[in-house]
Amino acid sequence: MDLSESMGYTHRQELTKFEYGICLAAALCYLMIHQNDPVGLITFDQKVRSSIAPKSKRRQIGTILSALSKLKPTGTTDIATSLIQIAAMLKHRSLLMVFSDLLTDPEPVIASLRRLRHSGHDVILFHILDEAEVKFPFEGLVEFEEPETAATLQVDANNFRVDYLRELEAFCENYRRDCLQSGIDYVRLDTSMQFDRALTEYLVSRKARY
Amino acid sequence: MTFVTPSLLLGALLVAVPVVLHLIMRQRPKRVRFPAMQFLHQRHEANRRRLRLRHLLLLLLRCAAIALLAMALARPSIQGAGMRGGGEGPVAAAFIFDTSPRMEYQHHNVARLEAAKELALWLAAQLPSESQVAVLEAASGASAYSVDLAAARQQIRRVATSPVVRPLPDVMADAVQRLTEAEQPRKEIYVFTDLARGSWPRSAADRLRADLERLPSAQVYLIDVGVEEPVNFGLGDLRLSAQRLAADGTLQLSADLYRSGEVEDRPVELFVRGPASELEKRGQNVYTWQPDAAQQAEFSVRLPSDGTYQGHIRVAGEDSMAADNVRYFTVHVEPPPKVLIAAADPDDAVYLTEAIAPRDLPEGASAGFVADVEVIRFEALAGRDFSETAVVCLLDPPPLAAPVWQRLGDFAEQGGGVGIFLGRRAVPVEEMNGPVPQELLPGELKRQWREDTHLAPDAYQHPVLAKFQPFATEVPWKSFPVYKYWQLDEPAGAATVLLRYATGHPALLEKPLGEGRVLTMTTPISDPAFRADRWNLLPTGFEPWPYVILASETVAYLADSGQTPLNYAAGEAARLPLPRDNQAEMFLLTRPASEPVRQTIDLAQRAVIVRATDVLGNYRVQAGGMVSGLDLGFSVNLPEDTTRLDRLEKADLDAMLGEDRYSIARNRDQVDREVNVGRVGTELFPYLILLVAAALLAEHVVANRFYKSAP
Repeated sequence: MDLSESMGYTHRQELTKFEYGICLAAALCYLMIHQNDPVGLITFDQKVRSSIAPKSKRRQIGTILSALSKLKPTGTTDIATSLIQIAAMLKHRSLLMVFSDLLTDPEPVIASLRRLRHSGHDVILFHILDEAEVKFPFEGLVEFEEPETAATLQVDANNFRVDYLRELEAFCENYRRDCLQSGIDYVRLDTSMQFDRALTEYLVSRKARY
Repeated sequence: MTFVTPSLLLGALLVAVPVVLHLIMRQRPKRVRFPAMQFLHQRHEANRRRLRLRHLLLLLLRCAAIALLAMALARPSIQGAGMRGGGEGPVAAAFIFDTSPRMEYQHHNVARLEAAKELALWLAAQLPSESQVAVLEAASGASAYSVDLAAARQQIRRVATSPVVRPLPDVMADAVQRLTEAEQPRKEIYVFTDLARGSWPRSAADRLRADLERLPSAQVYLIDVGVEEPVNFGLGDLRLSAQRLAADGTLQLSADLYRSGEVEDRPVELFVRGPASELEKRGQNVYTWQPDAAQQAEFSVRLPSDGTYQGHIRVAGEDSMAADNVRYFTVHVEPPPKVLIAAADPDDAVYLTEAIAPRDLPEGASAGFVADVEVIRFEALAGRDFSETAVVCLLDPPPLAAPVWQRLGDFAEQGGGVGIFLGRRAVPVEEMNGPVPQELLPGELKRQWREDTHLAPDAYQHPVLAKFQPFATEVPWKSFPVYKYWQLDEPAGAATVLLRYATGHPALLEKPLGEGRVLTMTTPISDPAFRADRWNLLPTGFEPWPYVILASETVAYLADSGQTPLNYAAGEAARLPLPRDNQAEMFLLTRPASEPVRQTIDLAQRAVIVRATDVLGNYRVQAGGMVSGLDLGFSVNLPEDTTRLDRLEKADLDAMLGEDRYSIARNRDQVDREVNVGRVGTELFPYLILLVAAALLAEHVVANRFYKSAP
């Protein structure tokens, strides 16, 4: 679970990206514990912040939910370094589910994902974006402030929308293509989607593949 | 480009307002937290430039809207009074009225002049106060500026038609002169006209344009009160077979018929009043009047006794324009002038006699000039009394005795006509060149010139040759060769050459002598063809009609008969020569429809001269009692072209006044509009307001897109 401050952002949705990710993770945890798979939790920002070792007992659900509920997104993130760190932590072949908005330089991230995959782990990348980040619903003159760095930028939102969406699409497409090449599941979500429906859709599609 | 209210242009300074607002009240952007800034950074530079451009565009649109609004309120115009200012300042105006009788044309029961006056009065009321108005009529000469508009209105009310009018370009030249002197910066010329060709002679075009160039700022308005499709019956100029004829002669009258409108039958009537009778109807012909058809009315009337006959022909019935319905005429029936022909042999005179006193004239033929001829031998001249004689013709005279030349000279000095037709007998030349004969002859005889030549007139203004004018190029002079003639010195002093041979030597010369005239021909005028040494074939060539005209016109000129017109155009001074034995010093002038007025005869002129011929009709001049006294007359008519209703085309006006130099208006609305355009120019206000609206709309669209508040 990505703990970066940007994950705590929502423009006009009920759930922040982080909360959305937590719900998703909790649901998956529940499902997997029920089929006796051992489930653990690792959180990271610049580096790995905490981890709960995987177990398959029923009690593990409570432990993970409790840990999830205490998490707060703060500070900047370094996904690539964190993933390398995680790879070193895993002793068995595992299924790794990454919840992040991936708002960072994509190259090191993809490289570290490939490394995880190379180590024999199965990886599912949940790319969670806010509805505002996907649709860019702003109008007129807007000054944007980045939550992590407090950098600002003044733009004419109307003019910018097309360019922004094109950039975003290229970014996502880049991830999708690289993930596909590396055998990684890339799941793009935004906070306006019903997360249960999103999850079901994903699981059905995964079931169809295996 | 000019402005009605140039001061409002200062409003354009308000363009500073949006600039200031732009600088000090820049809109604060909405602040929004947004993590996905990395996608914004990449396009930010291009977007920033676009943003600045749009800011600038918005600023420009706002400035443009304000500037355009200020400009629109200043009421700019093209072709206006310039920066001299407003459209309401005093004007120096010239109101020119076409007062030709054509303006009496009635349309919807309103004469054109009345319509013109009504428009003029209305227009005068519209003029800004303190304007000066000069009212000029085509009839009279220059008129002064009215002291105020009320006086001008009085003057307009007094405008009336007149038979004697000047062409409108001449009146406009006067108006330009007056306006040049006026102090008011804005000058306007209003011409109230029916735009008929008669008032706008084409020959005046260059002069008129030059006149208008002198005052380029003056606006010219043609107020057209004419009728596009007139309905009218009209008579053209009256043509008479002769103005003087012998008793029992037949006068033939003809006049062209002009019809505007539909084909209609209508009679033309002839009225004649003789010396001893009242005016009575002497003929009536019904014609089918057709537009654009060459038709003429023709009458002939026998005039039984000597005296002055006057009358008129007229179109019967009602008509829209009365001015061209009547044409007046005067003819004198008088005994033919006595012509004394002196010849060596009376047979020599046969051709000349036949030319001026034809014996067997076919029925109905008009002889033109007819003389009472007496032929005598030269020897009989010595004791001859010339008191009853009008002309003495010497056919091939030998050197006569000095007293005879002397008497002939005296005869000429008292008003007689002497014709000398030189020939083979004029030898020795020294005698002919002696001082006494040279009193009559125009120059010394030099030699007999032998060359096969012919007469070759080069000008036809002189009355002797005027009849040749219409067919000047068709006269077969070469068919009437001249083999021999006297070469005379080029005339000196008062003598002039009327006619030359093809060789360039004089053929016919005139020398005025006292009150009379002497014509000298350098070759015989009645040379028989059978002579072996004939000098010419003038009377004996094939069909010698040029000879008949030349001979009769020469003698008629000597008799001063038929030369003085009896029918005049309105405005021309009438001149009626008095008989040589006239003793009267006063005469009674009876103008048409007036009582007789006593006037003095200018005896030095030996003629009654009437200059005031501004009333149409028949004039009567009587002197010396009813029985043996003088009873003369003359007629005054309108020239035909002043009553023709043919209208000018725009191309004619363009050629005359210059394109874009004038405006035409037909009614109050048009006058109002044209005068406004002329004074203020073509207003750009509506176009500018449209531009303001466009600028505001564009500003609105851009601003809306731009400042749409972020959610």
